Amino acid sequence: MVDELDQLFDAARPSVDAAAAPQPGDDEINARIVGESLRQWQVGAVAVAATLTATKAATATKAATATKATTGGLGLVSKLVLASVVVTGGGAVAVSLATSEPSEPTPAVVETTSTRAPIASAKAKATPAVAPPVAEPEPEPAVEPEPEPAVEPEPSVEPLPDPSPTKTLSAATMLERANRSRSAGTHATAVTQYRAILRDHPGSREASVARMSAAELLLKNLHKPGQARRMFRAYLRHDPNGNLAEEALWGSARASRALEDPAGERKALGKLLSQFPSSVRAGPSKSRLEALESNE
Amino acid sequence: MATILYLARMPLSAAYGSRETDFHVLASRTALASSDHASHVPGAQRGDATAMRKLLEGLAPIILGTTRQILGQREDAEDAAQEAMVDLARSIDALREPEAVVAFARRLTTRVALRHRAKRTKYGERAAGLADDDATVAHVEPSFGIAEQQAERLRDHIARLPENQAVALVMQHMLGYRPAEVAQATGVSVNTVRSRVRLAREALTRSLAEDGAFDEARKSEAS
Repeated sequence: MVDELDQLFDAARPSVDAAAAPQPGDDEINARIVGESLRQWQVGAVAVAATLTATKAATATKAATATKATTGGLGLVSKLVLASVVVTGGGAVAVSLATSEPSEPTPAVVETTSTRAPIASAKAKATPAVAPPVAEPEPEPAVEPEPEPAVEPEPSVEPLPDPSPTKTLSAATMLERANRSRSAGTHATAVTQYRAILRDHPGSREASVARMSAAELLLKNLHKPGQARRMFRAYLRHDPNGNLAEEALWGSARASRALEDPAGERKALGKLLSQFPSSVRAGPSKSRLEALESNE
Repeated sequence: MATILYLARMPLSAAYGSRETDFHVLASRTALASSDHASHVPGAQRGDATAMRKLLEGLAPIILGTTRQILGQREDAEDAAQEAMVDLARSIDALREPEAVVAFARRLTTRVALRHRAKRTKYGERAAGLADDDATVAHVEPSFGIAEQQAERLRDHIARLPENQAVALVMQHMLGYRPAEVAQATGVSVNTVRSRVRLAREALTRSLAEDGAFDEARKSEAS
């Protein structure tokens, strides 16, 4: 019987081997898969960074609390800012500990986003932190003022969500929620949640990922190429040398194609070719540019 | 680079079994391709996005080819390739020997593709069950040739095996890896791999016999 199993494997082998052979159009598929994987990898990296910084913050809080207990016991200070720790890197964390009396419980504020300003509720609880000021990033406009060709097929303005429910959430949490919505197939909700990240945490790393995720959903699933293109272009404006710049250019070209805007498509493809000449998308970009030129 | 990619894409399964010489030639070619991919592994493990991109771009054809070997020429092969690549990117830290990156990627891909296959088979059975309670296991396209039908049936039965056994069996019998290579890619001992393959073969033989696959193979050979 075992021999018969080997015979079955032998019989199946040509079909199995043939399946592995490269096929026309694979370059396009591979490029898409790589782009999406990089994007999801970045989402994961952001989440890990948030976890790490939260852990660091918790450790710092513990250490500071211990210090406070010691100094309180000695009665050396009545009003003292005990610790201010700023951890920079994958995402910044500011931990501010302050006491009004040594015997009072120590309030701790932990931010798990990178460069955003402290949230209002946290500000109210904490005494002024000693942490160095962080640059307030330029807020993302709800509707970018970029001109759109006349062929725009759908309304460009989508109502933004009510800011109150997510105002106090960290960018990482919001991103996680949006990703869950996307995985569940509720694409419109996911886009709304991604946009909420752009609104609440405009300069964060999560915002960069959210922008690309929203753009992809708008283009592929919600069939709104105009809005998608604005998102792709916004990514390139905010993060011209970002890890996903190639995907953004490619997305912008695809969106322009969907909008029947050959000039926009040519421009995006040209940029892609000049900035990423050895990319796996270089071949498809060249072919598409040639096709566009021959159609002129 | 193109040559290396082509070699890495080459299915090794043709060389599996008694043709040891061919096997070693192909295995050394795979090693050549692996060393190229391996150079990007340390960077990718440090979180360098450029290295990760290069690594994924190099492995993409291999991953897609592997999912097609297990799932056939279907759309879900692309979905599985996507999922496998995300898995690879996220678990690249777990790879201890950069030289084994291709086998590592194919192991992850095999696992993901088998899950897709199992899901598809279950779905197909449920759908068939609605129409015909006597419907048996295999769910193959009627337009397929006999060889393709046998391949499809074999893949469906493999997807029902316990995952560790199925992965070891596929890597050895369909993708052409030696037990030592499977062991390296799966992080277990060679003896464990051999044991998994043996158990998988026994279970597969029983399940194919119950499904009448051997009878049909005999008939098709006779005709």
